[in-house]
Amino acid sequence: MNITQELAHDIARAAARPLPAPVALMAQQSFLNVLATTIGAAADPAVAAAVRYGQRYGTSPTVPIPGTGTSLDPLRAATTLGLAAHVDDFDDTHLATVIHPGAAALAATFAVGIPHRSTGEQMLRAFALGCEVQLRAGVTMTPWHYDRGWHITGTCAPLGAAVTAILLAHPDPDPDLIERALALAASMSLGQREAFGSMIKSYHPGKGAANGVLAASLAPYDVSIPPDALGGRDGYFAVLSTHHVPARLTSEFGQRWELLDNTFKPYPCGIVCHPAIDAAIDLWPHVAGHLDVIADVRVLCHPLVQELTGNPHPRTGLQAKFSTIHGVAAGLVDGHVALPQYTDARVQAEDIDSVRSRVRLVVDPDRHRDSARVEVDLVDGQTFTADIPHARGSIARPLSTAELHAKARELIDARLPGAAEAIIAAVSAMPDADSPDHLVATIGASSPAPIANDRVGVEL
Amino acid sequence: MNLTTERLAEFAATWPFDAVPEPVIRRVTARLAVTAGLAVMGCWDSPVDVALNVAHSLTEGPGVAMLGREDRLGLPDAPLALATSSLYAASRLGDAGSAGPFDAAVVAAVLTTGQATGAAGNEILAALALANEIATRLEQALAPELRASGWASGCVSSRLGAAAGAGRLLGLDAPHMVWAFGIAATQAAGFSAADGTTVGFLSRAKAASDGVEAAAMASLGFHGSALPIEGRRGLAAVLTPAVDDLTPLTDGLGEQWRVLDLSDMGDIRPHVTAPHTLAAVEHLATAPDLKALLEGSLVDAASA
Repeated sequence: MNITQELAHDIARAAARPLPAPVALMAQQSFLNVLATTIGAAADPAVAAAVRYGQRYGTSPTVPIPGTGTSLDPLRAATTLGLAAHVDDFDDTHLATVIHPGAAALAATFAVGIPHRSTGEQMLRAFALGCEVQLRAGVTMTPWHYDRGWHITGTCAPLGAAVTAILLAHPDPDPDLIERALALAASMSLGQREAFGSMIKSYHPGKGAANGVLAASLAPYDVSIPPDALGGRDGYFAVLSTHHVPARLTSEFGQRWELLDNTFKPYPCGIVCHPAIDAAIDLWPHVAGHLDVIADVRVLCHPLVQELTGNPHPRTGLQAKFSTIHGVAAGLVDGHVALPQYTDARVQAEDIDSVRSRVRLVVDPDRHRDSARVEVDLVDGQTFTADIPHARGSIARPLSTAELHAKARELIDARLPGAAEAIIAAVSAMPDADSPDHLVATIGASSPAPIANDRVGVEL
Repeated sequence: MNLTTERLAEFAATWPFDAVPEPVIRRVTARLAVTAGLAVMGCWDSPVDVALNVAHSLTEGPGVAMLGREDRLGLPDAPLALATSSLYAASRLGDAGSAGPFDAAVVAAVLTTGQATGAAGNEILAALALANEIATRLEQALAPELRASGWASGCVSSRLGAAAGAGRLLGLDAPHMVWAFGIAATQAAGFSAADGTTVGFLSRAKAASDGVEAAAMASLGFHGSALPIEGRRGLAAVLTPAVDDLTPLTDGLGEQWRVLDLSDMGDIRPHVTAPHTLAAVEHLATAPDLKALLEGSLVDAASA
């Protein structure tokens, strides 16, 4: 049996059993986390453009887009949902691979589970396995694939989404069907990192999800596939990565879950920014209201911080998500870092700009990726420091359930006022739900808030 | 600074239709005739049925027509089915058509978008010329390295060519064409290991839909990176790192037409049994729209 077939058999076996309790909980939390980020991003210009595209060129609107008051056809819905879940860089991260698996998995779950009227338990299981397959594929080719320049969240998305979609459309799938879906999805990868800083970055998990849904829709037909589409000599892994470790794809599948290492972002920006932002927030009481006393701010950080988020002068919210310097400045000025700190207006504000100009990165090769130290020199000679050994939201210091719910409330209530508690409760009740109806009803229960001026998009 | 994407985008968006040389128009017309004829011959083949069944199951409603069939699909979905029909029919011709028209996806993107925009025949041919010029340049510059790395034929060129053709017909200006190229470039996909399988056909054909979507999304304000082809982590760097000179992509753009390096597919034409389709293409330059081509294709398919 080749590794594509092996994976297909493993998926079929895992899908035939209930999720282990810790995995079921992580799946629910991951689902809530990305549902909340999807709703929170509903007014983003990229989401608005995707909705316009789906409304103008798509057909048969059967899948709701939470937070927008609209529905789209399954393929355009998957694109838009995956995009929305990821666009604010506020979703989830599997630290070993830096994949953000929830976006594509949620998109496929909605795009297929809702029209098929899947049970809540089916949706969560399909979501979990869709995430797991993305992460397994990613682990198999990490770090070589990302280092080559691929956006791994995009390139792995079709595989996971195809699995999610197949499991929802065919609750007891034959391994051959899963293998065909994987082979089709493998030929639909996407995502080059040049897209970072543009709307296309968030398009990657969205279109990846749509491709996975398409692959799963094609799979039941008389489709001939190449032998070992994933592991073959010129297959998915060989072409997309300079090196890969095949054993990682299926080792202990169903017993050991990469999904348990998924983490939820506490801040809407690149994950390597987070420890420095933690430190800045800790230091805020020392400078609050007296920003002119700040003389110099040093951020001692892992080399990836400079490489991925080293922009010292962002001018837009999108650029600021890749600027640790901005995140630190925002933490020092506002004492709280969330979506409002990443609007164009806040990024360009004089007080933030002024503090940003006094912040610099100091690369420390011995630092762990989830740690940072921020040193603030004041004009009177005092120095305050905050040392973060593990960022909030990291594996060592994951968000608590209360923190996750607080994040969800802030995101959801901003777009669907008053709906957060009902949505949180509906997700909690999913294991016992016999259809998606209640979840869909809570999402559509309140009217979307008007689009704020700070999310102004570009239009032709 | 390398401005490959910007120059190609400006070419696709602004080159005057009446400045496309006549020999180029003749070449793309000849290729279009054969490709369209193949599409009619293949319109009832199994992979096309698969693509259409799936498209209908996921989306319903008015849209654009296939060649040879009454089915109407949404603009983003139709190109996949149309390109599949050309490619699969070519494969059935054996040696004569074994490679399949490399510009099948570009043709599909232009014909479907042209229907949606009501383009006149001469606009269709000119868009095809510009799109194929870009696709051919990409293919010539990058294909050897792509093939050596296991990528499928046309995985890059078809997508950007499709985006260029669709974008021109949708009226994209140069900056928006750059966005379209970015959305298309990031979707380069498909492995040569799948050649000859249904996965291979659908993957090559999907380039058409991906390109149309890229252009359509760009037209609605979905913006992309500035350097999707030549950027540090762009298409060329990631897929063809051994290609360090991208100047062939833009050298002599508008003066030297690489599309003339493509054959007129005269070796395949005798095998194409779609006389009404071929005739409609021959008169496309003076046609007000694609209606005659679509009607001719239905007649051919019915008599096959």
